[in-house]
Amino acid sequence: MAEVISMEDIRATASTLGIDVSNIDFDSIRLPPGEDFGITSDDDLHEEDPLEYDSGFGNIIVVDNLPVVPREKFEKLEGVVRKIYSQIGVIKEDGLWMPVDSDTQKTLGYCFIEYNTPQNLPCQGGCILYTSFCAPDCDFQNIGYWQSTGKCLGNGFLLLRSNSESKIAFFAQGQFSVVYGPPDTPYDEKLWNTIPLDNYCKNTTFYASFYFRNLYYPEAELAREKTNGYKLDRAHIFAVNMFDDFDRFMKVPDEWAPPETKPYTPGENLQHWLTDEKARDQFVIRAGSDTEVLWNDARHLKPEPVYKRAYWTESFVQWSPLGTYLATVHRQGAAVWGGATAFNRLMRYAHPQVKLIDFSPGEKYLVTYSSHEPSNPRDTHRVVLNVFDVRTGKVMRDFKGSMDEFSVGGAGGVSGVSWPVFRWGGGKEDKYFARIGKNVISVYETETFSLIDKKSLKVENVMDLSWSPADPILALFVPELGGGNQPARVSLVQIPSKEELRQKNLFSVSDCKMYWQSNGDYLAVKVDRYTKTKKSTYTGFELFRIKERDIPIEVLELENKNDKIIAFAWEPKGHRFAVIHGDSPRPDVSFFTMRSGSNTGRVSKLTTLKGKQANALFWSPAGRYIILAGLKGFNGQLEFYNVDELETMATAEHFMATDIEWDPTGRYVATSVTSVHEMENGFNIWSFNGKLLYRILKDHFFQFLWRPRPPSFLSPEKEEEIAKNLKKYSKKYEAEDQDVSMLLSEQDREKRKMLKDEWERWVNDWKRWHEEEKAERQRLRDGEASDEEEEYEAKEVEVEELLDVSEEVLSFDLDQE
Amino acid sequence: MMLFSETAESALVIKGPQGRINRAIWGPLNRTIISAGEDAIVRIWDSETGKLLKESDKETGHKKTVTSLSKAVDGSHFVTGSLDKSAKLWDSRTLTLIKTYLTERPVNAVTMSPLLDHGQQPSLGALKVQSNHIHIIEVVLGGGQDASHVTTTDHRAGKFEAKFYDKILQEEIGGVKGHFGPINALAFNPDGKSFSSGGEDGYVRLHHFDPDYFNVKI
Repeated sequence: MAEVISMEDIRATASTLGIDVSNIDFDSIRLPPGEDFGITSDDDLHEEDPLEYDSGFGNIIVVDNLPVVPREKFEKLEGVVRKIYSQIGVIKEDGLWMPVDSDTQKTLGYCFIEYNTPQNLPCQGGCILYTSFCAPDCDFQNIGYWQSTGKCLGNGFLLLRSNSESKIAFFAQGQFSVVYGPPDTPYDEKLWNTIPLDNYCKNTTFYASFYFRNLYYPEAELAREKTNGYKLDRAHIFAVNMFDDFDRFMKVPDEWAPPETKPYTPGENLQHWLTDEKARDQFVIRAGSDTEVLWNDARHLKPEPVYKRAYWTESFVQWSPLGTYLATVHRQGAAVWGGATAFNRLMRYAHPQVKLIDFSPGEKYLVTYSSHEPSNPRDTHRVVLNVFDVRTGKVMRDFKGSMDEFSVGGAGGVSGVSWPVFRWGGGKEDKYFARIGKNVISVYETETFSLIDKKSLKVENVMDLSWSPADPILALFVPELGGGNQPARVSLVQIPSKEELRQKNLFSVSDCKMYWQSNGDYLAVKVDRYTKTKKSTYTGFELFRIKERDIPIEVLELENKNDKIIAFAWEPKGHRFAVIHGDSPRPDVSFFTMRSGSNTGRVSKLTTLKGKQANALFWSPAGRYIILAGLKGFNGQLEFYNVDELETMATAEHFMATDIEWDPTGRYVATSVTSVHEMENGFNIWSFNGKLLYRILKDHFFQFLWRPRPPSFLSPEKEEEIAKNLKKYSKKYEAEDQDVSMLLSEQDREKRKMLKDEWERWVNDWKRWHEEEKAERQRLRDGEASDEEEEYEAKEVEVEELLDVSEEVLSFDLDQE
Repeated sequence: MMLFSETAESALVIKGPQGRINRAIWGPLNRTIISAGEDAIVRIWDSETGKLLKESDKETGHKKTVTSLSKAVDGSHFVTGSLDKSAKLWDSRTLTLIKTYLTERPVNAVTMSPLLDHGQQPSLGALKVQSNHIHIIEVVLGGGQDASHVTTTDHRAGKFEAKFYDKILQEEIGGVKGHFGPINALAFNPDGKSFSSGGEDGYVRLHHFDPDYFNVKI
């Protein structure tokens, strides 16, 4: 429907307005608000205006299977239909049309209903985000908010309409120009097919990103959804369709044509970054409007740019769990990027107004989420979830419903669902995903994308579920029921058999939190219990040994039962865990192991560190090392601790730090200050043992994410062998490190020498001038000869030295001549 | 901007720049006047006619209000500090940008050591001075936090710190903390052995350099 108007038409339009388009300097035209330079709005012109547009029929539905009624009953039927459909949304004036057979004067058994497209949503239909407008030195507010008129004028011209003022503007080849000011031209859909998605041009006065989305008519769609199958009476069950769908389905050819088999073309190597010669890791950062992927070049103590793009995403970016894709989020859906050399767009996933995304652990599937404001403010938000196949971009399954259905266990209400709604389980095979509902657990399997055994698991009052990271085992938490008559319980359920492996009843429980160890070997359940008076709570742990026979459970209580638990974390791939307990501002940190000496079946304490300024724990992904961090209130205190040796390696501070992330290898750590604060924004890179390697400051810093790596191909035995013979293997790398460090100091020396020489040259130039002006200065000083002040008589000697230098310069000049 | 004669009548009024002019100094031979202020542009004027001679470039120049401007002892160059979190060194004659010093904070005041000029190594008594120091003060904030707001901020968050940069290498070489409000004024003792700072906190602080300072080598 995007009508393309030729340049001829523009010129014709322009000439009727007395504008010679070819002479317009688009940069120079910028009308102040309210000023139209005498080019008044001309309604006649508007009528014959070639800019008339076609609104589309997206907000029309067709209701079929209505009773066929004679003239007398027409109004009654119309009243009934109007009543049903105006409950869902506002029907446009004259928007209900029930055709009548001209011969029989009876209705035909169907009618058309057109809804008003709501005007309150700013981005209804194809439009441009005002935030996407940006000029290098200009506040975007000054530009105002512009809507696409839906007119693509060819040659990359696009006609825009201002929301606040009656103005039309051109956006063309990166130049944004207000041209004249009348008509209230509505916009058009499907423009984002005619115009490249990110049509911004740099190095011009203005540039803008174009984000168009398909028209979305919530009311018409909702009406179809709600009333399709509506029983007016037994004989009349409504069949409701979108008007546009008729067109679409009519176009489907009757005869099946065999699909063309396309020859296989090998794709890009999406794992290319793993083959980096220097074995470096990548990370992505988002600051201001820029998103940038960089190498962490720790040897050179700086990041090395890989790829950078402005307005790459509209809200956030996210790596897929194995690092293959970088996902961006836009108004019209999500997209993934990757590739061997640059970041190309690999796939798009259409989902209007998507808010949240989540990959399955094996990155086969992508779940997208959006919530939509109801047309009736008393209703709850509507929630739409799509599960896409990442590689093909196909929707494998969609889920729609009200917010209430999806917010069990989470905060619920307007604030939203607890994300992710679907929890992926069963290890890296992406076999199952589960969702918690009211009194049910729904487990889906990805082979058919339907419920296992076609039915959900009934669990009365279930509050929380958590998958083992490695096996298809679900841990469920059910709180107390019947005022304590029925105890709270944690149970482990095997999928797909739905068999309960183990269960533990717990009394006087106020809350439970479940923590899985990364291999699924152990499950720790933190249990907050009421004291006898019910006035306060205390905390204990239930430790499940999943891999042992009958899954033995052990109870761990801290020495001081009243200690508050501030943080808990398992050692990745290991058998130890750390707990921060006690009272702020100086809580204690304790380490425990699940294997103690010969007696492997008992948990025991390794050590307690007293009075630490810490409120968060960050284990190295390789285990062994941990950072005890005092974020936020603790100003960014960092303690790098070696749990094997039970000793502190380093203490440091990244003032105001908000986030900490280990690189996937456990070699480096990034601490960052994101724009929660307005100051100090940026990130630091540290070595695993707490040496600050480099520091980058970026204003409006939003995100720092290491690119994850897929698991190593080496067997555990091989890894152990390497660790044992590390000396042999590390030689080569140490030599490389040495070379780099030599090169660096050499480069540094050269750079400094260059800077000094440059300065020297400038100083000499200055002196020459200064010397030439000597007489003039003397005159200004009423004949006083010396340039120096009295107190520094001694310096006169040095001036003589200086003259020596000057002589050299002069002789240099002589050479020139 | 007004020039006054000895009789306290204005001899010359120069108009043009937008916003407040924060600093104006005499150029070489008193032939020019160098000004800078809220519009972020450094200008050189003819002190006789009031004609605008030179203007700093928009691309390379400051992006935000110039808060401070300080001349080298010999007048050959001067340094400007700006809320754009940088300080810049300029040629007084040509207004050529020579150096840029980047920092984390808006710069409120800036000054240069009087000792260390022109890459020579002057000896001062027994002290041997080897490096060129530029001295930059910077204060809290991205974009116009006023003094009343500052009191609500942790003094460490404010970073009310005097920072030292090597004039030639443009590298940060040290910092002096102490104020619990933004620093608004800075001056070296003419002998170069100490400096003073004045802050929003109402204090003037005198700092004496350690002997080490005069032997800094990078």
